[in-house]
Amino acid sequence: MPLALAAAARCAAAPALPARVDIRAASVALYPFTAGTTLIDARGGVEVRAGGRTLVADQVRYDLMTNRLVASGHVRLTFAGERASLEGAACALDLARGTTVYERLDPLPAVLRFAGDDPGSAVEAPASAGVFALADLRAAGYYVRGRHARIAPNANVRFTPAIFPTGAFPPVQAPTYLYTFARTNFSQNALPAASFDQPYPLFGTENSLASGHLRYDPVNAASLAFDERLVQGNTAYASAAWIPLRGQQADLDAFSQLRRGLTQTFAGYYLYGPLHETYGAYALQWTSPSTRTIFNASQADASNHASLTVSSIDHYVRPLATYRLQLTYAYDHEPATLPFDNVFSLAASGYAATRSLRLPLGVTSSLRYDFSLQEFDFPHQLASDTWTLSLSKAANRDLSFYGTAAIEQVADRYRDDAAKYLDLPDPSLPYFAPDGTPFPGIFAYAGSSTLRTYFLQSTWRPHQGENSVQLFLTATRDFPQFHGYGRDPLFATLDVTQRLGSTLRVDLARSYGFGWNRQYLSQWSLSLSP
Amino acid sequence: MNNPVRLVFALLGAVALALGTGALQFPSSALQAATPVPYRSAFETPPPLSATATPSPSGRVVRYSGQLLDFQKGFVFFTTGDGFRISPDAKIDDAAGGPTTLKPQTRVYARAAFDTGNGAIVELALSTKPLPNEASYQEIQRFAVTLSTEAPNPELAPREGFSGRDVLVTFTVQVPPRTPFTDTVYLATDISGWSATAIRMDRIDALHYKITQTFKSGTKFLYRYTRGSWQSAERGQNGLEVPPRQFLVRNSDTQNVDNVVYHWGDEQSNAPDLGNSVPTPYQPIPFKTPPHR
Repeated sequence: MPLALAAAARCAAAPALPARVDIRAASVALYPFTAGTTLIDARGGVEVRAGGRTLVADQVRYDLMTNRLVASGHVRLTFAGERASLEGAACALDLARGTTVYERLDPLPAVLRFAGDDPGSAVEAPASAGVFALADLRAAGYYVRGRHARIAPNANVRFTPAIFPTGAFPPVQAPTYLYTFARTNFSQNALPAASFDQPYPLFGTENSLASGHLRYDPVNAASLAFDERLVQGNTAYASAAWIPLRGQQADLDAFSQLRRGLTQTFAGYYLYGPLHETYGAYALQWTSPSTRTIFNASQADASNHASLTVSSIDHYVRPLATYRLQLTYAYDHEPATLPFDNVFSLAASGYAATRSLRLPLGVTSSLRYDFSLQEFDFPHQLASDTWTLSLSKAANRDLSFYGTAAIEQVADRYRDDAAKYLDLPDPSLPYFAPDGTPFPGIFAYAGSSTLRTYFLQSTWRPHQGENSVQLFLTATRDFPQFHGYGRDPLFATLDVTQRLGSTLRVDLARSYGFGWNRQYLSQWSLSLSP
Repeated sequence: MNNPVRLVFALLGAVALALGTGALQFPSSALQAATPVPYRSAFETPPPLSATATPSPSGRVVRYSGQLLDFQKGFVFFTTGDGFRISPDAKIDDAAGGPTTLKPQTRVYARAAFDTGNGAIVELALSTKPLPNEASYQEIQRFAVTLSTEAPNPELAPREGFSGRDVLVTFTVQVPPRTPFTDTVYLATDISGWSATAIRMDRIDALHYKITQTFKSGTKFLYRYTRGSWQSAERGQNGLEVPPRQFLVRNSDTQNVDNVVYHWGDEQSNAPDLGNSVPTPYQPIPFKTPPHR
C-alpha cells in the first residue's frame, strides 16, 4: 500500500509536457540523427515559449527525442505572470521531468536546480556532467531551417518558413514544412501504387498524420493526392486517401488486432471519374502456431465474393525446401453472367521451393513448383501448375546477372457433356476476334494453354556504390497466342540510378514493350529518394 | 537565562545559524522579477577572488580547453557547467596567440590560461574548433566559482557517441519463395516519408535482394520492405501486420543487416494467375487487355 501511494504521488507530481513549444530566432535549424538524437539548433535572439515559461538566450539547443533544451548566453527565464524571472549564463530545461538547472550570475555565480515552476525551491548543487553539453554540429548538415519552429512534443515540428539546402544549388524555400519524428507506425497508407510518390506532411499529432502527395503513374501521369492516417500503436490503424484530379478515387484501409492472433482488415475504394466502381473487402484472420484461417468477404459493384481459406504455415524441410498447402471454399455472385449467377468452388493449392543452392562456376540456383486445382459446382475444372527455375551469378564485384525461366501449364476444362448441361455455344461456329479473324476458342485446344516467361536482369553497380545501371529483359512465348492479343513477346527496361547529393538520389527508367503486329509502347518512370 | 543580554545573543545566534544552514527560507511569494533567487547551499562556494588579480601571472600557468556557454560580468562558463573568474584585463586571442575576430560567446571553443596564484583566467584563446587540453580537470577545478561533477546526469540516458561519419550499410533481405520473379523490392523508411518506393533493391538471386546505402553514424530510422505499394508491404511470419523494423547506424566502416520477409500483404489465396489469357466459352474474347495503341 505505501508503495502504491508513493507511485500515485509520483504520478501526481509528474509534470505534463507542454502541448507545444515555440522557438523563434534569426535561424532555427533541424539536425536529424546528430549525436544519436534529433536536434533543433536556434541562434540569434532566441525566444522559447514552453507552457508558462518564456526563455530568452543567445542560443538554444532542443533535443526532440528527450524534450530537453539547453539555452546559453545571456539567458533570461520568465515564468507565467512575470511572477519570477531568472537571469544567468545558461539554463538546462527538462520539459519531460519539469526540472531546471541554471547557471546564475548575480550576486555570485552558482548552479541552481529546482523542479516545476517554483524557483523558490531552488537548491544549489554542482551541475552533472553533460547537462549543458552542446553537440558538435560543425560536420553535420541541417535538413531544414526557418525562423520559427513549433514543436508538438513527441510528435512533430513545423518550420516557418522552410528552407531546404540543395548542396551547390540555391536553397529551396517553402512557406512551411512539418517534420514528423514520432516513432509511430505511419507507414501504411491507402493510396494505390505509383511509380513516383513524394509525400509532403501537412498536419499531424503523435497518432495522426495528414499528407499531400505528388505522384506519377503511367496511367494517370502526374497527379495530386491527400491522405490521413490514424494509428493506435501497432494494434490498429485507419488510412483514408483521396486522389481528386486525375484518376479520381477515394480509398480507405483499416486494420485492428482484436486479440493475439486475431485481426480484421477492411480495404475499399470508390472510383468516381470516367471509370465508376465501388469495391470493399473485409477479412478476418486467425493465426495458430500451425495454420492460418482467413475469412474474406468482398463486393465490387453488384458482384459479391466470400471465401474461407485454411492454410498451413510455411514448412521448412531441412536442408533444402519449403512448402505450403492451402484449401479454399469460395462463393461468387455475379448477376447476369454465364453460366450461373451464383457459383461455389473448392480449391486446393500450394507450392514447394528449394533454398538458394550453390552450383559450380559461382552460380546460385533455386527451383519452385506451384500448383492449383479449382473445382466448381458446375461441370468445370481449372488446374494449373508452374515450374520456375532461377539462376544468378556475379560476374565480378560490379556486374551481376539474374535470370528466370517459368513455364505455366493451364487446364481449363469442361466436362465432356458440359454442352448438354450448360447450353454451350456450338463449337463448329467459331467466334471472331475484334480484328475480324476467326477465333477458335477453347474447343480448339481443349482448354489447355502454356505460358512461358523468360526474364533476365543485369546490374552494373561500380564499386558496390549507390549508382547503378540495370537492364531488364522479359520474353514471353505463349500457346495459344491469339491474333496479337496477349502479353508482349518482348519487354525491356533500362534503369539508371544516380546519387546527386547527400539528400537526393534519382532513379530514371525507360521501358519498351514490343507487341504483336509491330505495336510497341514506351514509358518513363522517375523516382527520387534521400 | 537570568541574563537578558545573553538570552538576546543566544536568540540572534540561533537565527544566524538557521539562516546559514538554510533551515529558514524566504517564502517563494517574496520573489519578484529580477530578484536573486534564494537557495540552500549544498556545498561550500569558493570565496571570491581578490580584486587585485593581475594579468601578470603571480603563479604557475595551466591551460584548460572547452566550449563556452557564456562570457558575462567577468565570468567565463564552459559547457561542463564550470564557471571561472576572468581577470579584467585578460588577453583574448586565437590559439596561436595572435589577434582574433572571434568573440567569447556561446558555442565558441576556448583555451583558458589560469594563473594558479589567484585562480583567474589571464588569457583566453578562441577557436571555432576544439582545442587540445593541456591540463586535467582536477588541476583547475579548485578555481571554479560554479562547479560541475564528473558524474553523469542520471536524467540523461547514456548515449553512444556518434561521430556522424559516413557508414556503408548493406541491407540483404530474404523474400518469400512466391515473390513474383519480375517484381522489385523496396526499402521504405520514415526518413523518406514512408514512400513505398523510396530505395530500390537489387535482386541477387531468387530469394534475396540487396542494397548498399551510405548513412551518417547516429542515424536512427524505422523501415519496412515493400514491393512498390503499401498493399504489398511485408507481413510477419504469421501473415499479420508487423511493426516497422528499427535501425541505428553505429560508428563503423560498414554495417550489414540481414532480414527475412515471410509474407507480402497482397498474397492472394494461391488462385492461379492466368493473366486473363485463357479463353473460355463464356469469354470469347480471350484477353481483357486492349491492343496497344
